[in-house]
Amino acid sequence: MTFVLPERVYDELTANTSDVETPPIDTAISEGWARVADPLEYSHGLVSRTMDGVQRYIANTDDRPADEIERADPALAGVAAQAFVKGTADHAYIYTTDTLAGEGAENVFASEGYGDSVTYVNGFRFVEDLLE
Amino acid sequence: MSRTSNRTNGDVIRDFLSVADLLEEPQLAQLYAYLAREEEATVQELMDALNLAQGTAYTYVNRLVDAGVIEATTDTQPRIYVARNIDLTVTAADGAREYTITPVLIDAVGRRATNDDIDTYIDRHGIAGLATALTYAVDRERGEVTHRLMAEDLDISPLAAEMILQALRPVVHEHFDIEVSGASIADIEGVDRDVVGDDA
Repeated sequence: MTFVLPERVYDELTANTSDVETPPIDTAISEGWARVADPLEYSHGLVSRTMDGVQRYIANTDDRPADEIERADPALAGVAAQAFVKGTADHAYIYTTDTLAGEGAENVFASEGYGDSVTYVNGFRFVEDLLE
Repeated sequence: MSRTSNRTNGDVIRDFLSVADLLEEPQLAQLYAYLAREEEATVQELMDALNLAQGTAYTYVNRLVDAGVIEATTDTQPRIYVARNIDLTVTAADGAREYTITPVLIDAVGRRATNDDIDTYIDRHGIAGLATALTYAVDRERGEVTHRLMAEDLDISPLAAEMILQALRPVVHEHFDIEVSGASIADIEGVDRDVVGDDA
């Protein structure tokens, strides 16, 4: 199993890590259980629609303008959408600790007709299960 | 001003100072939070639960009783102690900001003794900063905000936001009845394909 990270998330995890020699995410990548996704191609309708959709979903719930929503959360859904478009996956499991981002992705994919192809996995539950 | 209202003001100030003491000393906050959560306990139970020596436990209990934030419900031994409810709203001098000090905040502060992430956050952002983070932690668990929005609002890195939200998560679930959403491993067993991850 390999975890696929949007580029934006990888950038967050490696920013300001000058005090550690190897950021943990780079260790995970070199050990082969994580990799960074290819750049997102917004020209694919499904990719841009799901990202815009998640952005709006988060904005509406938190009652703020959509253009203020950071694109890293929508990018999670974007990576899954791109895999569907390219035919490299027929089901996506989206791992996040943000319920809002996870539910947003599920919701938007459902309205795009991919409701059965996407599962939001609660990051905390996942870690708790691993520790058991 | 009448003598009555002066007296009331005096009580309020006394309450405020007691609570300020609690926030200054994580061990006292921990003991108060335990009583608020468990509803009642004897000194022996407090010693067992919080791993305190007898002398220390009596010192803390007496200080909290003197401060008026806990009280004994019985006169006979062993005495049973309960927490008095604290709900204190402090308005900053500019009048624009308001903080409410609640048992949840006191619990969170009490955990700085055992949680480095909470301790570091208070050092950097103060108790008021922790109170703000706590409101984000509640909203995040309710699925109303993400750690990235918190980071943006407070001008901190997403990683720093995620760390304090994770540290505060047990406090939130201890005090608020929030259903956890999303699938667990048991729900997706048998999966061996690539997955989209966000472990920020």
